[in-house]
Amino acid sequence: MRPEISEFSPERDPALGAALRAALDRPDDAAFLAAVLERARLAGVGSSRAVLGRPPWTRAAVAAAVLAALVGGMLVGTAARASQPFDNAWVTATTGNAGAGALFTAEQAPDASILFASVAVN
Amino acid sequence: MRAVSPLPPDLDGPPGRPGEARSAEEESALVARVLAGDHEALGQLVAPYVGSLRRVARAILGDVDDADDAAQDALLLALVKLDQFDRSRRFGPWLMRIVTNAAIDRRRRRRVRVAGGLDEEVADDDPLPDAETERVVLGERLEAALGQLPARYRTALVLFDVEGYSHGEIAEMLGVAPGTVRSAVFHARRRLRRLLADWRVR
Repeated sequence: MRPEISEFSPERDPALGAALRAALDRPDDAAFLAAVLERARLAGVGSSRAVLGRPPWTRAAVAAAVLAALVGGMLVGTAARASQPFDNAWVTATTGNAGAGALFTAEQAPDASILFASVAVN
Repeated sequence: MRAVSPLPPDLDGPPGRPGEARSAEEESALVARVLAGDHEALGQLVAPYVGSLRRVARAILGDVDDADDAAQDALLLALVKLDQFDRSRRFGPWLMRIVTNAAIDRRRRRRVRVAGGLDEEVADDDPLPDAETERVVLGERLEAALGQLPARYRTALVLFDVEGYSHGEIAEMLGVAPGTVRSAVFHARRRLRRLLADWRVR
């Protein structure tokens, strides 16, 4: 067998191709592929880890969900902070005592000495 | 995590351009399944290309173990970057471009060991015992001759004559003009012809 090398031909040289293919072929493609698939599995290819590596629309959806969660959290936090002055005003208006408003809406229980001082003054 | 699937039966497909046994639509569907997390589809997608990738990496790098390492790393990289693949195009050339570039890059970074001493081994006039031995010796002789070609020549030659890609596809893979590929194939064949000039049919 001899590869006929037709250097000027623009077409493929089947004899040369077959001879080179036989020379370059490596055994055990199955083991090679198994090793690649195992590495791919460990790298998270084809799993939930790869979600951020998906098409642009998927990344946009994930980004939108994260943004929505952040905005939602900020709104809830703002509302919680904004509710304190209202509670304070409501207690003060109903009791007629500004100290009572602060007392009821404080996040922590007041010190006992302050409470007694307030009672003594009133 | 899903278990690794059994290997597809068509791993050692028929000679010729890899991946041609299935349509572009089937291939695109396989890519979509992989992106959706189907690990079984991963094996089916790349299996027809494994032999081709290993041959091209070997042609570029010379050393068989180095070539397999390069092919494996590049294949994994391609799978990680699979979301960047344009599914309106064929998967094979895209995958081959990644592997080819990885092998060329690896070759630049490492000193490649080219098999030597084959000339002395085949230069004697002892009669060859049979056709199988002749085939093996021719393979070794061809590989040694291939190793003497510049990397760009042998890459173009193997992609064209062995793997069946067109000049245009190879040009796209290597980032050169189609005329450059044609010229590389021509020069590679001419040099091989000279290097194998003393090879006789026995």
